[in-house]
Amino acid sequence: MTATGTKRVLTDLDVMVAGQGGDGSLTVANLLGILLGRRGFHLYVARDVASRIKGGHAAALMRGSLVPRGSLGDRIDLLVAFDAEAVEKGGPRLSDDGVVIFDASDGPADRTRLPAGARVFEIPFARMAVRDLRRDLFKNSLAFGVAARMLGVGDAEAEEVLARRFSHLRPEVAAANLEALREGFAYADSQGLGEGASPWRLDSAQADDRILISGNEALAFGFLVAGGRFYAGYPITPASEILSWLERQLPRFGGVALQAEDELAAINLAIGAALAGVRAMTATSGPGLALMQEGISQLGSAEIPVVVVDCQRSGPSTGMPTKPEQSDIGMVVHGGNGDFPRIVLAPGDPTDCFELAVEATNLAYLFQGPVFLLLDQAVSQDSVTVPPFDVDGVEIEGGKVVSVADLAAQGEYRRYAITDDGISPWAVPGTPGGMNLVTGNERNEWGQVSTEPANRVAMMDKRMRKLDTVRPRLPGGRRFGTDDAPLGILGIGMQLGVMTEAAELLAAAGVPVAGLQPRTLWPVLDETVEFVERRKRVYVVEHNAEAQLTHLLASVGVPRDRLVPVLRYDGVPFRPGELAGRILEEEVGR
Amino acid sequence: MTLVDIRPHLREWAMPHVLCAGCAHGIVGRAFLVAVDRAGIDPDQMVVVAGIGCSSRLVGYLDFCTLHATHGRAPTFATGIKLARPELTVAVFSGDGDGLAIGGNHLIHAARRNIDLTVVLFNNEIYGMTGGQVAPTTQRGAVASTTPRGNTEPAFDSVKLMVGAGASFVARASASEPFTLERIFAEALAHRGFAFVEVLSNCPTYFGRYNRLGDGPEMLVWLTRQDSRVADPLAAKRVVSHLPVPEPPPGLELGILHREERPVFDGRTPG
Repeated sequence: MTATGTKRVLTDLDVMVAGQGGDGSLTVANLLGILLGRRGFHLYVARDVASRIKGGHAAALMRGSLVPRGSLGDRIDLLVAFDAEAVEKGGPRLSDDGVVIFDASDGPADRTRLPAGARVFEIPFARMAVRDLRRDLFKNSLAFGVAARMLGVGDAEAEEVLARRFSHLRPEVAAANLEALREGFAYADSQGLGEGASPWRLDSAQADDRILISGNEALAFGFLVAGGRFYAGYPITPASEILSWLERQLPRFGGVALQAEDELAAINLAIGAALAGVRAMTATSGPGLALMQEGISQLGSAEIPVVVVDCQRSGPSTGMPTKPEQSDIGMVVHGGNGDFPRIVLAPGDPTDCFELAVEATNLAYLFQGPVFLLLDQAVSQDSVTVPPFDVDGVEIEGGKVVSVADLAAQGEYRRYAITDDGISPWAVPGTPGGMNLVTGNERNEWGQVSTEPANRVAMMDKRMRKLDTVRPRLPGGRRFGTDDAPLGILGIGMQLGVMTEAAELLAAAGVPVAGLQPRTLWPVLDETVEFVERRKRVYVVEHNAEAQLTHLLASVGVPRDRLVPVLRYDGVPFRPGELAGRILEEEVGR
Repeated sequence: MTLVDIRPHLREWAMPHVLCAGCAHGIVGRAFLVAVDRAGIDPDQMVVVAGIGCSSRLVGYLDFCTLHATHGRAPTFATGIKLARPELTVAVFSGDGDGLAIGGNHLIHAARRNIDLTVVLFNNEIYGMTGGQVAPTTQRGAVASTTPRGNTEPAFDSVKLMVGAGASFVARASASEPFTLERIFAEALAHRGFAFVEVLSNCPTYFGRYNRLGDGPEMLVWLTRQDSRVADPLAAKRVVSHLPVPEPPPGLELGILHREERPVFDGRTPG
């Protein structure tokens, strides 16, 4: 926030709307998001929900900023609190001059939770006009009225936004909401907050073309665009949106999305489709991925192209289903019995999710094996404004799928032919002359089961060579911060946005850092090793208790003594200032 | 019969519970507690194992030895407990997704063995906890978040499945008839061998909303619609399908539908 004259001009604003599930916290956040979007603000929207069916305390968290940001901010500027718990949870994060709009139906707000400079509007929603409609609907529109006044938005614009947002409702319901909005204005008048009297004003900028999308949706879209036509999954938080999105979209493009009876079925259904020559994917979270290990090993052994998505959540076991963590790194990189090559890509935002889903779908075909997309709950479910995806730039690569003519020229077809690049020509079922045997047993070039030692070594080496073949095209990481700084900061997934902003804060505090978000987690790329080798110290930002990423890097020769894990495993994402503070503390202590 | 105060069997300190307003799972849990109390089972000797899902969360509020297992695996956990400590009374709470999709294999093998368990399967035709996805009990044509144009698959009849798999006591009851439910649970708990009770419950949050079946009470009214009334509440009758589709499925049989005496599996006695 910067002050000009008597008004504070807002360029970066964090809003929290919270109450009991069903209070419609998202509705107020949506309405405010429309106002911000019109002024060219970028949005980052998260939900904080209890791990339960419905209800419980729920919050919509939204950040609007003229500079694109990949995470929520440290402080909340505007807190719309529909219950006391919202003040309890959001209050400690409120900015010193923050604003609270509180439902005072059950008594006043607990001000001990709030900074001294906070301005509190205590509105007795329950005593205001209710009539024959559900009160929670009114509550949202009324609170939006007060919030719009606070943000210095004209009444006419607030009314227009509300009318558009509720245009799908019955006319009498929409009209009642408009009335509630006006009651919000009247209440603001009574508090000396007349139209144009707000101490705040929203800044604005040119709004370029943007979409607001979650990582799960972007990933599903990327798979579809890359030619993905078969998906099987089983309900699990936080991966379920991929299943429901593809259930709606794949049939429109001649594809099939199926809810399987469990995760073992899901991955094996995908294996079946992939064997038939259709680009296939499955997605799950940690507990489901644990069940899929048998299939994953089969993909590696039998050389079958399937994209496997892990939307990580807090473990171990059932853990905290709605909370983010990055504690499946070990399982994704090392899971499944035996030795086999695999690729693990780790997107950090919806743009990455789209691009890496395309890349994973192609890579699976090129390399004939399992390609993982490793997300976390925040990357999967938080919604972010990003530039529209480059759909026209997507190329569908066929790999070594052989045609009838190829087969005729070869004379004899061997599914597991030993080749220099390790990749065997692949005849999908139904290609005349391409009948073959696929197996997860060790086998000879014809697919016949073999335990002959020399063949075993030749086959293992062939499979492992595939990784070297595709290595040059594996997606590089994203750099940020000060490139030549002796200190580094490194992390995957949801750490991208937080680290990028923390690097700015650290530079401003006189501690510049170079940043890297590896987008290929496995194999660890040379650029990642070099990034660490070129620094005195690299902070590895991770959401797990065991420093899994740090250990992974050390296992491939990154000097362990230069890596300093910065860990968190409470189910709450880092905030930029908080992360910068942790690193400054470490640096001062050295 | 006198009214049973179930509060001593509840962990009231763990409340409020997670279930939605209008959900009938609580009616089922209450009926189970009444049956346990009337049977005079020592709470210290009662074990209830659950899987993952809405119904499975009930074990957090039952003041017995309760075990919240992994998704679908409750029958195997329970089998392990019963084999290790045969003197305990062991029950399983499972949902239709938990018990019939991911855990279907375990359920049929527990039934085949005829191990002395009481399995309560809550059927609300949907996955609630994960956001309203289709279940193996969802009738063809019904809408779920993963079947936006209507379910293309037919539903399981768990009673037929359990009889076929070898369960020696098989019943189906409805949450809309709590007193019948209490009596069926009493019979199931008294039965020696694998006792399976499917209970038709509701999900106003997802199934009711997606399929326009109204809120909790309206959904319970649907569950009471039967094609005939018989004097004996435990005898077989049929509940009319509540789904508003052009060709509604034939509905499901209610009552104690199968009962036989056959050797109970103890892991020790051959032949």
